[in-house]
Amino acid sequence: MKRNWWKILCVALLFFTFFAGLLVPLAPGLIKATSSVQSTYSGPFTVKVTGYNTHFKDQNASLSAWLINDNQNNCTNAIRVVDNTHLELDFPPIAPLTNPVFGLTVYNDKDGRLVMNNAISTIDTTRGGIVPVCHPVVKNEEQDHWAIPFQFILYESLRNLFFHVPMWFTMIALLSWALWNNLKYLRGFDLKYDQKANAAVNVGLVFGVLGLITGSLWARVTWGAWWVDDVKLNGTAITMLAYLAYAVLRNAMDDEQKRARVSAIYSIFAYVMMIVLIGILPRLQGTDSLHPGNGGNPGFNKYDLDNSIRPVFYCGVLGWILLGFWIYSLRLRIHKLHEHTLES
Amino acid sequence: MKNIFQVRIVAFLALALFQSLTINAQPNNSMDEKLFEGLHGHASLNVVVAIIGIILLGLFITLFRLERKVSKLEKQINK
Amino acid sequence: MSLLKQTGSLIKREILLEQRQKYAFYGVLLFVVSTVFVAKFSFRVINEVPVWNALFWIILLFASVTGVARSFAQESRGRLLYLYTLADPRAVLLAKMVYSIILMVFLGFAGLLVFSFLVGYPIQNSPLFFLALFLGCTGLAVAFTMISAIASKAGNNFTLMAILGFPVVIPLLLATLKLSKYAADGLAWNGALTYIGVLVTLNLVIAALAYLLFPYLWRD
Repeated sequence: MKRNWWKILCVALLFFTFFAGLLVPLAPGLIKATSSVQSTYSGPFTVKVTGYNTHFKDQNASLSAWLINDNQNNCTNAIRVVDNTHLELDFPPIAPLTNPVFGLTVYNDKDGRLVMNNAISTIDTTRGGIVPVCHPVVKNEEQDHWAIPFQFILYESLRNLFFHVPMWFTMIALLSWALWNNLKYLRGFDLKYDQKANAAVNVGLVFGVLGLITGSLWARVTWGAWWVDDVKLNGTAITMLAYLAYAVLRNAMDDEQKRARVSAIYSIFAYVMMIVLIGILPRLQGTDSLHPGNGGNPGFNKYDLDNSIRPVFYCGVLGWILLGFWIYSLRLRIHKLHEHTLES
Repeated sequence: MKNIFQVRIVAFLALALFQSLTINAQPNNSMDEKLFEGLHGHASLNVVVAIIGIILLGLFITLFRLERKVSKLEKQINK
Repeated sequence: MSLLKQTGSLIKREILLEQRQKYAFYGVLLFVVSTVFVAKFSFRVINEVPVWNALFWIILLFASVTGVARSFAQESRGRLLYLYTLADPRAVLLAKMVYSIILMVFLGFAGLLVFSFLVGYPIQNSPLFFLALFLGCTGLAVAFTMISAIASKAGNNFTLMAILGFPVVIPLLLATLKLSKYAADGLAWNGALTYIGVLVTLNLVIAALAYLLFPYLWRD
């Protein structure tokens, strides 16, 4: 039992990840805003707002809403609450200062400040006309309960952070372990380490393929295509190819020592290429990437991975890595038994 | 024979898990169907479920491959 | 004898060998010219930079596979063993690498000459493009020399060489393509500096890895 503590840890961590990752509600946010008119200056107009997980009706007392145009706040004349997720806002005629696009903010004490950039736009050519400015009262910036951050377009699929992203962490952990064993093999030419490296690469590839498939599906929903031209995507695909080539190379040789030596050398090459492909190239400025933290995009930790879900994410990563090593250890043991039966 | 039985069990479990997830994961504070229409709200939840399903399927396939190896070993030892 | 001296004399040997079997070199050159002609017949003149770029580098990639692949494959096992007893195995690798670099850079510029003569030359910042060509060819040569050494241990077949080689050279090619696109669009140097850095680092890393790992590879 003492030697299996990490398996218990793995199960506990994954349980926590699944429960927290699926059951913690999404933070409130604004999904949609439509204006009744195309020109905001021609007369009073109504904006229909759709929220998600919001509490408009429950928090009727503290509710306020305003449009933002070039850092000017334009308050409502009246707010009509339809239900907890629907609002109708009446605005006086507003002429935009310079920018014909308005942002929308809805505030109540429970949900905090809900912001939607580029909520409505106007066809007005009149600029800087009457600008009714207001100074809204804001008490809580954030919602007051534990929640998964609300991300426009991503919505609930942000939960994939606990399932899709750890696949890559697991793959990299297993491949790093393979690299370590390859180096060890080259020091003493002990076939034990070659076995370990081979098993680690095999399980790492499984997690890599899972990461690719799940990523492709997520991309279909959020970015609209199964395969987008993204350096990180292409990089991981090439990494997979490199490690598949490693498998082919192993099959091409019969002599065990020679196979171990040559494939260890190739695997070191493949690892370095992987570091370049997923670690360095995507982070450069001017590359096309949709992933956060790449190609000059802000990282997840800047706005997504706030402190509320960071523990769940790290537990998930550790849990999946441990699961990967669990499968790896099974594979290795089976392989050892196989060798043993061949000898006897 | 034994393997077919196991496949059935796993398929059943996977299906049950999949369904329970879709049921549990729906937000219960607003069951407004209109909310999700064309807004990715619902689709974004389904993709989480699908991704978990894919991961589990992948892990099951890995387990089956491992098991095949064990069966082979057992046969060798019994000889 | 020091490593450098050994390398020097081994490079001389490579050049001598090449002179003796000219058909191999001319074969690769013919390959480049004939693919350029195929491009010429199907496109007439290429004005679009991406197409030009892609075609040019694909031709060079395959030329390097066919040209550099020979470096270890052409040697018989006995002759390699004889070489290893005479000289440091690392010197053998270095000599082959330097020779491949010379060959590839020559092929690259010769290819550019033929290609621009027949298909067009849409490059605006020529010095930057020459740098990209030099770095890219060096990278291809270095990577394929090492891959050729690995493949020669595993039965020497051409398919294996391609399978092993492409994942290693693709990052190189990506950076090179980016750089030559910068050059074609005539952009300033400071935008391209990152990619020059990446290419130089990649070349150095691959060369260093090859140098460190080769002593483990050669012995049988």
